[in-house]
Amino acid sequence: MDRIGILGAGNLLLTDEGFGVHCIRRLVEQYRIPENVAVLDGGTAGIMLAPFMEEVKSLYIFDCVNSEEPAGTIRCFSQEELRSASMHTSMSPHQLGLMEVLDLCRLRGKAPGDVKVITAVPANISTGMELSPQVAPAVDKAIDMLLRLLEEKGVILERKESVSGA
Amino acid sequence: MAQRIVVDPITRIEGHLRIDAEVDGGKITKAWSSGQMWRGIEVILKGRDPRDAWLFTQRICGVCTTVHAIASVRAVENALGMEIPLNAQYIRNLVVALHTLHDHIVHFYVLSALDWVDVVSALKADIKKTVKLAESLSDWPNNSYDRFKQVQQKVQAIVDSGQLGPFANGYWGHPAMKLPPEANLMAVSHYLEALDFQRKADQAIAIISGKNPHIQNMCVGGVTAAINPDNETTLNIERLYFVKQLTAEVRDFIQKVYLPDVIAIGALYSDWLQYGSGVTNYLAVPDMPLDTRGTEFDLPGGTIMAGDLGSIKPFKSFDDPYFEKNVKECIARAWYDGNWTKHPYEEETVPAYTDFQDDGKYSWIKAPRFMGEPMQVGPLAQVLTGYAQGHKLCKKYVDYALEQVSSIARTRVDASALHSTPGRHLGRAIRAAILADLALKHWQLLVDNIGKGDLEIFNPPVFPKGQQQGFGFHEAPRGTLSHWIVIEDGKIKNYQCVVPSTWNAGPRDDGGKEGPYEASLLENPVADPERPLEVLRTVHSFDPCIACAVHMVTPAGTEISSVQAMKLG
Repeated sequence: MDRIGILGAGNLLLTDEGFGVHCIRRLVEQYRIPENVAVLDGGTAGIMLAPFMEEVKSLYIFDCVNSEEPAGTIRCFSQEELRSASMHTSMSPHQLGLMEVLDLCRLRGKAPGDVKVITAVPANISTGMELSPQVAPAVDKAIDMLLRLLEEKGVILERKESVSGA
Repeated sequence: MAQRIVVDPITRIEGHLRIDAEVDGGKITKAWSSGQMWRGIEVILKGRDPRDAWLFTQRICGVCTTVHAIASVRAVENALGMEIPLNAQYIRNLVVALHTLHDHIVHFYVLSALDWVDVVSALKADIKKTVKLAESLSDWPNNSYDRFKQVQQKVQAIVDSGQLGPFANGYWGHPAMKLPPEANLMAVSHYLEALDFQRKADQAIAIISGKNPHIQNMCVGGVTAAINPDNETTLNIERLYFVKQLTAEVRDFIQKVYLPDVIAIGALYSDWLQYGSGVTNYLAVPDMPLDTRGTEFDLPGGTIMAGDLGSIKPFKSFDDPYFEKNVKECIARAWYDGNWTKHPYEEETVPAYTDFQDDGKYSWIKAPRFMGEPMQVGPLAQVLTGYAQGHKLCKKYVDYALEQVSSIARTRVDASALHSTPGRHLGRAIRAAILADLALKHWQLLVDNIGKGDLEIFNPPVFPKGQQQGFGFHEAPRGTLSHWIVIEDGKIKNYQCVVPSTWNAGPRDDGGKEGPYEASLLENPVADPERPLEVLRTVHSFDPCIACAVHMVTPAGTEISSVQAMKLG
């Protein structure tokens, strides 16, 4: 079976910036992860995430992305959509964000064929360990979106029975 | 809709550096270096158990992940007057060396090579000439016709697609880009390979330290990496041999690719050897200790004043008073309460933010001084202090590099050329070569010591009543790092970290003396203020462990361009 990667990106110390990491924590807490699926809290590791990206066929990323939509809005983007946007903001080749690391992997001929980025619009990116009230409910929605995308690939994640409140 | 999205990497980097530069007549006339983020770790540590400090301090950074762990345990051990077992010393040394190799490779290829290498120009390269050029530099097996052809095709495909990815918005075609197409193609090929070798170094650290980034095997008194040659769950012979193999592969890359590349770039940009010297007082501390107390070292350190190698004064041990007595920090121009210059044992960390004031306070970074002087730290400082002492490995690689640069540049280039922007890159590549050799040496020392039946890794610390103070230094990838601790009744009373980027990126002091970044930018040419590539070159050559936002300001004071140079950590 093809190897699938699920990656949460973001800075856990900056409130909604940590959205991707919160999604990963919720996911592993509530679901059994099949053997061919690798889940990673990527934090702010940047270039160090390249090996993970290069070892999967499909990659799903949870992240926080600024837009003019209301805080907490969930969207799913292809890599092309995000890349074309970052072209306008990247002022130098040294801004190696996630998309740039992915492009570097592509240049090496090792990028995953299919990349989807599930994003939430932040309300607050000042110092803080918990999500803002506007963004907190988006975690479950983002996970639902991931589950649907995985289902399209024929991968079903089972919910753990023993999760409290489940 | 996608057009409105901003993936904002600024929020996820460890710290922010703002450089303001005034340009007049095509040259920089004034510069300010400002840290835009406050590090509160020292405050968090007060009242805690000194044995836990390393776990907190290593979270200062997500890139220099091992260094604050090492400096912290050394500081506590110094305060307690402890020795650690030989195995623990060697294991720490392996981590120190491997982390350096990872870091230097990433810094050069991923974070600064594109200041000098024009990716798009690689498309014009003649493949046969590229092979010839590469073969003249080393016998790296991947310097082949097929490999270069393949890389050129990949670059072509990326350029055709209009999606330049990591190369987007580079300064292609900038008048300051001078490498011939063949050198550019060779460098791009190596850039793509570098990722594999930084990873091998990382992998080796993870095998020794349980996890990377942020190692888990340090402790005050030694390491927690249990050694048992026959046990699968400890550091055993199989794992040690895996570490050796990875280290040897990385060493090969450094000797045959990284060092030759930097030599070639230094030679082909020899006009740059006159720019970027700035502060030529150098400070480096000895590292890779060979004994349990830290009185003998494989890496040399010391001070050099005013660029005069004859002024070398070495540091001799982990408790050398020449280091301990002479480090002070000044907050005259930094956002802290007061206007003092104090020794780290006596410092306070009380924030007092104003705003950016050209003639007042303008940075979160304090200004460290050694005997009252600003000091440049980093690989170049270490290599020069070693060279000045006749250190064998420093001499071997410096002489080799200068000889090669001279032969490619067809002009005699001597050690004085190292006081420059490319000199800092050369210093870093030379230091990588030295540490690759030393990593393998210390691997052997460790294995030989285990072979003698010594499995000790830990001496338990004892905290007496009353007050103790101590300092721990470590020559980190970006330069001299020191941690300073005051312990009272077994708890932390005061803690200060004086980090490499503080030495280099710090602001002016109470006497108005500029820090190394600031001084190094003066007189730098700027061909196109809208695209201030030259500023990036000089600031990047220090390997800033901070995100770098460069603002260009004309003498009239209007901002003409805002450039962001982002580095991971």
